[in-house]
Amino acid sequence: MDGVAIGLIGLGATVVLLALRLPIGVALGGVAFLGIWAFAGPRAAWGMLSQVPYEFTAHWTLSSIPMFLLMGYVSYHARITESLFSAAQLWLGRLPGGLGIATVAGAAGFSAVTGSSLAAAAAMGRIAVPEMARNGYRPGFAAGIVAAAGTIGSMIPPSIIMILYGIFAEVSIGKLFIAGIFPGLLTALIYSLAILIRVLTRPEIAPRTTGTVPMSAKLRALGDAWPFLLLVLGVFGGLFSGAFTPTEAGAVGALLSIVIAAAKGALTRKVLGDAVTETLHGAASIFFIAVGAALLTRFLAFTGVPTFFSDMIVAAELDQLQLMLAIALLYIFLGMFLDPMGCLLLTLPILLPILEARDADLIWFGILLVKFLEIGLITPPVGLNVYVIKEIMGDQTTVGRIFQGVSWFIVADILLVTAMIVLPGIVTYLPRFIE
Amino acid sequence: MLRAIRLLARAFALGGALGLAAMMLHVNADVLGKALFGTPAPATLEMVSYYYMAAVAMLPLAAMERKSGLVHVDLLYQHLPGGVRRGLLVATLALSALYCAGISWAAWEPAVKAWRVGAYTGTTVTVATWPTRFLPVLGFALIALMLLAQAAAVMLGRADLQAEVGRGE
Repeated sequence: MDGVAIGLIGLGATVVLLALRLPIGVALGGVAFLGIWAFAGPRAAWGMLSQVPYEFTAHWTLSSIPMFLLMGYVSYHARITESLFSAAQLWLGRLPGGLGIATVAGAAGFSAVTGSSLAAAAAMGRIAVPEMARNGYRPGFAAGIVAAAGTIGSMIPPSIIMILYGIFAEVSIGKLFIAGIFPGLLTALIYSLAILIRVLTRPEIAPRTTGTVPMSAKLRALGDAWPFLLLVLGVFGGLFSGAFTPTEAGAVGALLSIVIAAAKGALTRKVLGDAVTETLHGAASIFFIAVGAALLTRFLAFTGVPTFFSDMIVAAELDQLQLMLAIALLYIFLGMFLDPMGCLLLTLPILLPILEARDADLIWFGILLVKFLEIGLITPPVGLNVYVIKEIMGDQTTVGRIFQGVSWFIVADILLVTAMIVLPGIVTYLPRFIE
Repeated sequence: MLRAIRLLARAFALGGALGLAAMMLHVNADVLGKALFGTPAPATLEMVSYYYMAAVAMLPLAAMERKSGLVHVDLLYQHLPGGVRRGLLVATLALSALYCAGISWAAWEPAVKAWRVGAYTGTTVTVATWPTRFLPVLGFALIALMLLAQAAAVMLGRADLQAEVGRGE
């Protein structure tokens, strides 16, 4: 049997094993091990298994993942970003759907201290959902806003997905970070517009907040947001001015978040303990899948599957737009049942060689990829953000209602993705300024 | 037996936490050292890559599996009858244990080899790397045991199947 056949059987087996509920990391790594055994014999298979897990993880650049996770979890448990939502609430509260728009703003802010969308959705769910419920927002609408707003978490830096993509694609993580800022802010803007339009057409789903807030209170609220501003300025000021690298930024951010939490009087033993435990579990879980993906990458490269697909695409003579459309459909399909990390790591070994062969801009593609994966977080049947919010809300609403509430934001996302493909400058403009 | 595995998992996780703290402090010392005095902290790259990263990635594996489970896809599982679900769960836990045991086993030989030759890394300062070669051996062996214990618990009907559905994600 030739290599490509073994590779394709391996890919098929991976999908079947995933459906049978084998953990993602085990499915990717196990298939890779057996596949290399079938292709090159037991010595090669054991040799790869003995080297890859250690050599992949003992890696300087990867160290930013646990560090950014720690920064996010400390910020979450010490409630460093909540003041931002309160301020946004005072400033935006009087707009139609103002509380929803403030939620989007709060999520965008939280995205600047966390690398994960699930964390952003969970954090905003905890603080914004009760507030919206108190003001008479329909539960499905409120839940939809938070689930969608959470997806900004991976687009605005830091971003765990961008770090992994940068490592696998061998592109600058700093450039990816900076490239994500504008699309992230645009996402927040287009979501806010979606809320505004929705509430203007159906005012009963989100009653207007009455009463005026004096300017002095608004300014005081901005002042109260200092812990958040300090953290973001410290990390991104240093990162984009070149004082430290993206990898170092994670450690600086983690320490700074702990110092700020202490200064704000919120650093209890429980806060620190929970943050460390969640960081370790999150990091171990990511590395476990990533090791499986690193093994699968070797296996597929061995068997020539990426070249096979790449030749197929060349033969099909797809232009850039058609290729992007095909890739978008692939991710929407995979995103229906795979988590973003698994989705990313399963597809990169095949897609990257294809994109490299076509000379595509890998920074631009990386940001599009983040967007595709984010949309997967809110599309049925497995939209992880939706389940996070459902867990927070309990019996107040149903999963079906939340998916309904989210659908408007998916439409907004599709518009934005189209814009990013047609006008790549949205993504590629900012990274030009750093070298 | 189960208690011993859980105790070890906690001890290993504590090792991971120490690695996490050391990573944060060492990198910050390096950044500050470079910014203020123009001298980096010694052996930052080597210590972070080989010691702290290996500790953070490998040691908490068993604790992570116990608390939240390895990430999996729930597509068909909820729709299957209870008996099939139990069988599938035992099979996937056992296969995962086999995979982790395989990685642990495979890591043993290079670890011993590195220990014999006293493997090290570094240019200006040298750092012995061979001790960290044993971290995957330990971390993956313990998660393999944890997975086996869980497979046994499900098989003997001691684990709640409904709770198992919610694990992961």
